[in-house]
Amino acid sequence: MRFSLSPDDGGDRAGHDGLEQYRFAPGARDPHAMPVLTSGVDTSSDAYRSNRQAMEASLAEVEAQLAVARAGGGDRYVERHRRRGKLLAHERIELLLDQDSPFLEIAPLAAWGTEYTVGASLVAGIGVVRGVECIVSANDPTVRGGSTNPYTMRKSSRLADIALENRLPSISLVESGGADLPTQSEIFIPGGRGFRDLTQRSAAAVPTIALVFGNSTAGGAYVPGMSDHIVMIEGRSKVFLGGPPLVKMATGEESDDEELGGAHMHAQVSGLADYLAVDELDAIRLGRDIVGRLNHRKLGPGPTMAADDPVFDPGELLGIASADLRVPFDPRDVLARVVDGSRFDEFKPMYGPSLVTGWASIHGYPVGVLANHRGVLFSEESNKATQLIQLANQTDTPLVFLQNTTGYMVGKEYEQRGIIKDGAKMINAVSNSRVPHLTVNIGASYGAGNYGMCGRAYNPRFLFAWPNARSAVMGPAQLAGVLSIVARQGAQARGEEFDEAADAQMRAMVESQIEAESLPLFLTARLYDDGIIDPRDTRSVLGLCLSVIHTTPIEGTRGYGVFRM
Amino acid sequence: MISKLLVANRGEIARRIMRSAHDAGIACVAVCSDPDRGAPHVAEADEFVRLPGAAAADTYLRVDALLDAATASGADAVHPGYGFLAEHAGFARACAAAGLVFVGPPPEVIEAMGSKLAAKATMAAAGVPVLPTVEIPALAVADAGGGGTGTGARLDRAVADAVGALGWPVLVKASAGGGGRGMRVVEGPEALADALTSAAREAAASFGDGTVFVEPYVLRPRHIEVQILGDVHGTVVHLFERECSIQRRHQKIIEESPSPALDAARREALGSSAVAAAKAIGYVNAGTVEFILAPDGRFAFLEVNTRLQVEHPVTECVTGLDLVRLQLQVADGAALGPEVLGATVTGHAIEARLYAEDATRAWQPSAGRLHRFSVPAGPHVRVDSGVEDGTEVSPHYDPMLAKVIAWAPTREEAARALADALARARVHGVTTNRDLLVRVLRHPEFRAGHIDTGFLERHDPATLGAPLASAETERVHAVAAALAGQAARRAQAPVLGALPSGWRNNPSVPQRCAFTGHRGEILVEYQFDRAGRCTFVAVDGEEQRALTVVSGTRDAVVLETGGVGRRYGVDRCGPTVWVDGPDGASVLTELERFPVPGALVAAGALVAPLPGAVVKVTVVAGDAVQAGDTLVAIEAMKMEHEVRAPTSGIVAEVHVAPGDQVEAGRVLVVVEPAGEGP
Repeated sequence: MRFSLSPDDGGDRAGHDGLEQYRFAPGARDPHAMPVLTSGVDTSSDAYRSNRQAMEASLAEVEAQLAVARAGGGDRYVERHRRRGKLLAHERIELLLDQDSPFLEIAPLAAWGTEYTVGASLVAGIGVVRGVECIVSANDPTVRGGSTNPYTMRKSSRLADIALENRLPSISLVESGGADLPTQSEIFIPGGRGFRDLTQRSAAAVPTIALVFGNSTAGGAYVPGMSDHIVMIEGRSKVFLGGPPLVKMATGEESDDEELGGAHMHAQVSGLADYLAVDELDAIRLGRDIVGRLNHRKLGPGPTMAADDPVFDPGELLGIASADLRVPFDPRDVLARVVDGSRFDEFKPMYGPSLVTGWASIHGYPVGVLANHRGVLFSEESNKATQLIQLANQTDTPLVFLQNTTGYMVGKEYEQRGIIKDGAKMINAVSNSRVPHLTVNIGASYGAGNYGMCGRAYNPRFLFAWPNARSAVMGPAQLAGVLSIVARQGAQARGEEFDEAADAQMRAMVESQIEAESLPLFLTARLYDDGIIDPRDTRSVLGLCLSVIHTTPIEGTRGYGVFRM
Repeated sequence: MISKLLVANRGEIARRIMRSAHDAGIACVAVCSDPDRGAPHVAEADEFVRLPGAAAADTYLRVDALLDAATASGADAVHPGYGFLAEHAGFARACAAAGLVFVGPPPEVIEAMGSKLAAKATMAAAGVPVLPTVEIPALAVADAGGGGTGTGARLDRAVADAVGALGWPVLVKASAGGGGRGMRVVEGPEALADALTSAAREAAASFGDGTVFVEPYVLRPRHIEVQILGDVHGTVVHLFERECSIQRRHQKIIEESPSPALDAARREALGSSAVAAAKAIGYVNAGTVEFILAPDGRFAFLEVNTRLQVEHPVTECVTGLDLVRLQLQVADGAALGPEVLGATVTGHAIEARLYAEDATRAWQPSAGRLHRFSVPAGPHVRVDSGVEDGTEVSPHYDPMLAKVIAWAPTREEAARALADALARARVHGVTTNRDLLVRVLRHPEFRAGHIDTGFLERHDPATLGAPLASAETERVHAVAAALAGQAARRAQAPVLGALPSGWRNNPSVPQRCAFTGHRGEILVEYQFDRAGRCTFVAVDGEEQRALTVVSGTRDAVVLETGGVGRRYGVDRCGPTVWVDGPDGASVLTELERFPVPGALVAAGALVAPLPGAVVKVTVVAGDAVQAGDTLVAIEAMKMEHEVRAPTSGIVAEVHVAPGDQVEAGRVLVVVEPAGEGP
């Protein structure tokens, strides 16, 4: 791996020089066999500049929230934590990871805009430990003692899904006071899933490791309790079902923390701890050693194509996505800055041109691509998508969806030509496809288009959004307009006079509500995606996810549901 | 005619001899001790014979084994090189008896020159200037104390007077000596007796001959020697002088030709004295007549070295002759040719001896695996080395790794070229005197030619030998080491190697790595951006805004500091990282990211293996114990478990007494290992 920097290199593209940028996997296919995209983005145009300005403003907003998440419980609690000689959640994770390896944080802005701290008192993501891709999660003890709130629970569940679907060992850096008791009604019953997930993963031979840095009590005691491997820290870890006051209340017995759940006791007496660490660093070292001994193997194929950088500058992705969602943009300009060597073998380019489909590779992994071009999905686009998804399943090729859709076309002509049947075929194909899907919302994701283009409900292995993206059942103006028309029709039917002023007010209100609820921060807060990403990171994020999904065998389905003709 | 030559030596001189022999069409047989089996001189020979053992006395010093080697391989000649048996008349004689051509002077000549006293007398008779000498008869000193301190030594009055007449200070020397052993400087009469006693004892121990003599001690002397060459037809010529005044502990480390201290007249006088000396003893083959040159310009004979000298290449560089080739021709019976008889000096040559030793720690030799060895040779820079990448530098032999010789039209240019070649050398794995050599060659006194044998006494070797890299440079080198390490890790990453280094979608903590350098610990932090550029570097918590990372791979990193770009070579073996740059070289040790805590527990602390009752404690604090001694016994579950000393040492602490109940892990006794502590 080379890195380089020329001081006046203003672009964002990796400044690789020489031939080393071409990485050929053994037996890689000839990269020149595929056509290279041409992409003429005029970076001096007004449109580019205003798009870029808007994108940078959105990114700044996201970065500001990430900073809030990184700050955890705030200076006071961070300082108190440090005074106790403890490492912060991020620091623990950084030490656990292999040096210089990447780390994709999952849902770093969970719980944004809610009564809970941004990040949901859990720092988590996918990283590399001893050369093994793992799910790593760390309670943030500076946020209400690392306790679990409803968003923490959703985030944990999502991480459990990722671990199981992708066979990733999970390493929990535990220091949590258990459930945030005032919100127990939202946590207690669904939260039981967490323990079930742990042991089911274990049953599926997906390893689970708990490094206990501090309290892990009551329900929290089962996180280590259900794990395959447990490390506790001398004098620090406390794992018990009931603390001294609760025991006193329940049985009258006098006891102390150490007797009930100290690390030494668990290592020597109860046997709950497999390894006794002398300090945090030692616990992390032991955790790494455990992963090193898992004998974990990736069951999917490795990269098979040349993994050279795109020809075009990924930095320009900032000005490509339209600031105004009504202005379509060519997804080929995006692909030219994401896929290997900007090579894209387009499938049915002249048929159904509102959806761009084809074949490419990212970091050497072959992918099928579906990317909206002009928003609307017509029958042709639906059929084309259906065919590509079927073909990808025949060849065990993962799919990448780049969403920028306003939905399936409506109108007499389209209804009569069977848009429902064609849309159903596409949704059928997406739903029953067995190759892994990766979805990025790079613009709009409205209506059933969200479903056809593999929205969250269609279980893509990963789903990310650009900061400019929006997602809702329909656009705010359309939704307000529909409500207005329905109200007007109702008034008409009742013979009442329609209150135009009230209608205008209602429309403005609904519009702003829907706009707010379709924003990426709102959606990511609720775990409707796995995170908002900087468009310039799209290639890295997809490359990482592709490697992760290849930890499992990639096998498409050979049979499909009945296609309605 | 010689057709197959046994080279009875090792290292650079063995390779040097074989080079000329091969040029002359002579096959070469190497000999090698056990540690030298993989040495370059063995690889370059046509055949080799093993000398079982490691110590020189068991191998390269064994006359019988070497003769057997010659017989076994069918060699018809032997070249002894320098050192080992090169000046051993018995070896020369044994070779002759075995019908082998000995490439060197006849045994009688070696013998005549083996005694310094005898040599001086011969030379004085031949009209060669010598220093006045007082021979010390063995019985002139009585060791009254007998206890070895020598404080009670009494001295024969006549001897004391004779020495006093030389003028103070005086120098005591061993007649059979060399390499500074048995040598003492005596400032005044009161110290004379002790000096003579200890010199005699040392000489007897080192050379088997306790004869010592006293001569005036010349202040600030220069060491000048003349190369001589004689053929079997009675022709003897000199091939000009070499100056070898830069010495450490009487060992030459920088030599040059011609000497900057001589004018034409004095050069001629020295040369003819040397020829006269050689003729006086019937010298044949290559040899060296050593002189001492006083600051007033007077010179005196010191000794004759009846062999090829370590520093012969400087003579070769200025005369264009191949001395080894000439030695072989003389041994073949040839007469010296016109190129020798009409030899002239062109330009200036300087040689530096690169030793595996620590100049800052009393020249302590350094042994170990030479991970990398490269000295940039050039058209006028010659490297005679006995080692290569991977050579194991053995503690059994002389720690000289190589000689680097630079030739240039002038002395100034030669010194500059040699200092530059040495500064750009990459020698990894052992400590060397490289930085000291560079500093001497760049020293204004050296540059001005104001040198004498006391140079390294006047100038502190610890200062001259300190790393050329400054503290600031070492920090920059640590950055290069850190970035090369990350490049290596990225290149070896089993997964996600194609992502930018340390990529994060939510960057928080920079990457860190820490090193121990010459001056203490250095912490380096760095961060790469999404495009793979290193955009943040901090050293010891301080962001390095003036430092720009230009590019980097696992073995080369380009950094710009203060607007100046420098390319650093980075080499790693285990945790050790060597960084070489135009601003010097650093050896850094990367600190463990996760130190194993066991290593932190006080060494020697013995803990209870399981819970139980102490039934026996056999030691008290202060007791000396041997490894394996039982110190404590613990009874648990009806079995008695003995806790034994892991190493020999002294009991520092005892924490239990019989009858105590102990839990597992409790410290029972602390043993301080022998050889540690104050």
